[in-house]
Amino acid sequence: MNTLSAFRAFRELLPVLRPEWRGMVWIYLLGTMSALGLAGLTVLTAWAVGHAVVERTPPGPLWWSLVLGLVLLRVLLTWREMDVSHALAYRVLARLRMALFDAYARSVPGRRREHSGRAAAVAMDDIEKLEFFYAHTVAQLGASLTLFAASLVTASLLLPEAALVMLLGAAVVASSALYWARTARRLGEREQRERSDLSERIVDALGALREVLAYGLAPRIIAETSAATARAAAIAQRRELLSQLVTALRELILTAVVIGVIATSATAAGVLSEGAQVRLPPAELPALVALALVGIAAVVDATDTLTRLHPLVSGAGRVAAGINRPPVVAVPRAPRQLPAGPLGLRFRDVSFSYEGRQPTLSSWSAELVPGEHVGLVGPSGSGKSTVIALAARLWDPSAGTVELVTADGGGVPVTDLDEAALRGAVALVDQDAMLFHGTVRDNLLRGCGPRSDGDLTLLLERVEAAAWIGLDDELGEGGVRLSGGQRARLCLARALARRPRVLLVDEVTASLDPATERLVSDVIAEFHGTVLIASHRAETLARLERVVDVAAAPHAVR
Amino acid sequence: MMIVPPLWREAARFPADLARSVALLVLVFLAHVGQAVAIAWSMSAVLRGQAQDVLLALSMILGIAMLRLVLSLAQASAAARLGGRVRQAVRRRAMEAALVPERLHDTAARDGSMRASLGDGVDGIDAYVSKYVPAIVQLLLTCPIVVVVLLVTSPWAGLCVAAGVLFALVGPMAWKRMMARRGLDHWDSYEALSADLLESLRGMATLRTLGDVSGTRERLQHRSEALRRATERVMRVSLGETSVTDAAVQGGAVAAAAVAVTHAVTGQAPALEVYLILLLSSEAFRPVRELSRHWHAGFLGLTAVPGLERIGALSERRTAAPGHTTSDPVSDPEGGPGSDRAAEDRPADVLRVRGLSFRYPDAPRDVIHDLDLTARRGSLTAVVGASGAGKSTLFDLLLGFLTPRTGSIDLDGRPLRARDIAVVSQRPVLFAGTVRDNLAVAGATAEADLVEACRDAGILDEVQRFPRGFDTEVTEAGTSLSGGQRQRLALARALLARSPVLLVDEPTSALDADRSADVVRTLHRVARDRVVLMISHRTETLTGVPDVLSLDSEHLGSTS
Repeated sequence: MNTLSAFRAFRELLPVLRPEWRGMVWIYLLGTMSALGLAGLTVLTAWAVGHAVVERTPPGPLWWSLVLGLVLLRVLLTWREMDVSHALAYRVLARLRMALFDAYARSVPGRRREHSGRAAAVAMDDIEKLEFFYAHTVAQLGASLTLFAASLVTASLLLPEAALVMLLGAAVVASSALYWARTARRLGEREQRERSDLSERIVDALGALREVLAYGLAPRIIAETSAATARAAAIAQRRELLSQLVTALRELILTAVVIGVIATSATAAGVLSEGAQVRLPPAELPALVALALVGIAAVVDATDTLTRLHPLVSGAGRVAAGINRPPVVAVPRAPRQLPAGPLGLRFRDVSFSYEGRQPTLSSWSAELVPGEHVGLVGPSGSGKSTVIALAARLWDPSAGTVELVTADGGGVPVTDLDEAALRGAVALVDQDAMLFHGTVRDNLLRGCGPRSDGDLTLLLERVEAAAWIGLDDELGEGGVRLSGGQRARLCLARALARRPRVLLVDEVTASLDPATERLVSDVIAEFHGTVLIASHRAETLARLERVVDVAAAPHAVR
Repeated sequence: MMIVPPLWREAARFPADLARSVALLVLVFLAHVGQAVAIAWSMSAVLRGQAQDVLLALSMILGIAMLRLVLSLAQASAAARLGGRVRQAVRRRAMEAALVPERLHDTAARDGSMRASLGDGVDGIDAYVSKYVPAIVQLLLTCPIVVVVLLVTSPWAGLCVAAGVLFALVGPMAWKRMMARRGLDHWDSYEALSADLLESLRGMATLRTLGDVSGTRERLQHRSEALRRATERVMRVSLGETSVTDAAVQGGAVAAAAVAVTHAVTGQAPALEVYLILLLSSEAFRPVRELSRHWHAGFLGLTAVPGLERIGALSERRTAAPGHTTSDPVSDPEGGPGSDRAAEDRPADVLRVRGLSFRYPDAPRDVIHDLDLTARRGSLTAVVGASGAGKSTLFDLLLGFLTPRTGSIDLDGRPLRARDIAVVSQRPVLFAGTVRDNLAVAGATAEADLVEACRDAGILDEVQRFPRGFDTEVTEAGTSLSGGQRQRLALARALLARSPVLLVDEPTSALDADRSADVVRTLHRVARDRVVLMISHRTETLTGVPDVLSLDSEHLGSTS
């Protein structure tokens, strides 16, 4: 990664700052005033000392009030600047988090699955790391440069050659922003990779905890994370060393500049060579040195900020990439609503392929008239789940259309539909359906209009769950204490709570005990709407009106 | 100065690293002081017009600067090492505390919060341990020396500086309690956001099909705002520290300058001393400024400390072995894979359960009540029962994930241990990694064994059809595979583990009739040299099973 693409990574993150431009200007003003205050304080002190030592005159009351005033002002301004800039950065981070969530909501599940542990690491850790960029970079660089310019102008008025030394020194200091920049970026990238690997490993271990414990894998996972931590620490050590080296070099340059300024101004003050023309009173010498120092220190600060950005480039790149993820479904330009009444389902020459695999579906067609209950069969891996996912619009087909069919036979492509209208009409129950942390009521009401407790209790009774769970019971993540059959019943109840017109079911009866299987089939049979069930269970299929084979040769819609 | 005792204890666990880090910090500081003295000397030499001295002083400044470069590099390295080792130790303990059976049935446990604690939480303490702790020790060691030197040079300047340093250190302690309280809020909201975020990322497909994306967004927005407000509140208190330090530093420096000016004007001191007072008082504040800088870099990380303490990551922890398992798989190093497995590779004859009862802490009645069960090597044993009759609970009891209220579980007369058992659960979860990684959980495995196990589990032909065979990547939780494929891979994995007991929960639920028959045949064969206990509802899998036990109305009865 070169400097240009690093620059680009950060530039992609600048637009979120746009609504904060007033804040940025304010921070710049505060920062500049605070820096000028400190500069004034330093120069005034040095001036008083110079005069005291050389002329033995104490500073007047004006000096005292100025200095005390500046101390107070400086403390207040620094505090205010930090407060405003951090508050602004936190606002921007919160906005980034939501932008990232929106991007994931449009693009997950992708055709190529991304690990949720990695995605979470980007959304939480990488964004958090950008605090430095938003709180300490843009306005502060401006303030530092302003201060440098001011001190340079003042110095050039007092003693042009001292200003020249300053300018040269500043240029050398500034060049240090690029020392080992590539290495720093690479280390930052490796550290970021370790971080997201760790996140993935932890999420995996927690998600498969039963397996981990049953196979005694915990010691191995702990050893692996420990080794990963050691690796990350070694990278961090190298990053620290590098930044320390650059900082130390910068200090060395700073020292050289100070010596240069002292030597130049001392010569000008005539203290080094007898009889030379005195162009600067010796009493002003400390003030001039202090001024030069203040100016160069501002450049040092700015360069230091730039150096600290290098390791953040890779995280910034990830966040930017996350926000710009391509959506898996297109958003319609003019979303359509659905007419009332029963709906059927039609697949018209639908093709779909997963990334890097043979096409799963090619020109596949089928139609379900409103109210029809149809089974979907085919060998394992033949695309049953894909058909269901396309009907549920988790993805768009690469060719062809999926339509909802009204009673008069007219079709509305799901790609044209308003999201809320589509979700209100179509419900899905599949084997990966998740129950969420919260009560049973919370789960039943997810994405659903208001329903009375009476309605929900009726639903629990209908799936014969009322005997073992109540609306106020906590489920825990994924329904930790429930068996597969219990989870399936609750997921079915949740789908029905939304009163859908089309119900899609994927393999859900497969892992159930006969009682649950019968019950689920009963509930589905009673459902007054269109049903499409992917299954290989003869018992399930036997109760349907018709069966469609997903692997059958392409045929035209009736 | 904010002292966080648990982190000091952590740093003290590595005394050599801590000592090296502090010692080098002191040397770096001394180099700064040396340079200040040299600068003072050069200034007074300039004023006195002694060109020789000026050059000497300037070369001294440069020499010390070079020395400091080397010292500060060594210091940075030592500090990073200390931080890294503490992080490693804390993370190890946190992981040990996280991977415990208690989590399996804890409805309050959230993977996302745990992820935050184990990841960011542990990383967050680095700045405090590696930078702040050594900086405080160094400050306490060196500041008094500089103050004493100043006192000797000029009592008033020394007093001013001492007062400034003291104020900078003690002042912020006034709102320590507020800081701690707000820190707690911050970490709680960070964990809550992390938990909701991970859950919604994992369940995004479900959320989308439920049409609950906008609802979830609102919830997350709420969490995210709560985090933002909490962070802001912590930051405001922390800035208090920064301001007080800043005020003390500036005030102290100005006071010292005033003293120096007075000295110069009243003619009490030569120029050298005046400059020395100025520069030394500035140096005396350097550690305070550094401390403030490190504080700013590390204060957010500190909010995780109570959370880490809560999960037991900041104290050495001995796990009490739960229930009948004399060695739980976490604290017992032998529970792991490897050579010990081979030692366990001998068959056992009888698995006997007597008078077993269990209830969840908040439940009104037992899930399993006074249960007796015997499973023998030689033939398949099946357990049947309605949904929610306690079959999965029975498995967790056998595995030692739950502690029975009463009763015993013995294998050949000794308590059953977790490592005696290989398990195929109802909804097996695979890890992100290759098929091979997932199968070879018990350690390195020969290709021939993999092939055999997969053939026995009826998955070989499909694995061989995968684009890269055994090296095909499996996505998170195995979602790139169908339910049936996951189930059969889990069976192959269990067969490879070669434990004396095999527990199988619904092994054929996601399979078609042919494959289902294959798998049942395999189980019958495996049962010849292992104790195999199978939960099943399918009548077709039960044909030919001599012992079928019905787990209903809270106890087992043989129906065969």
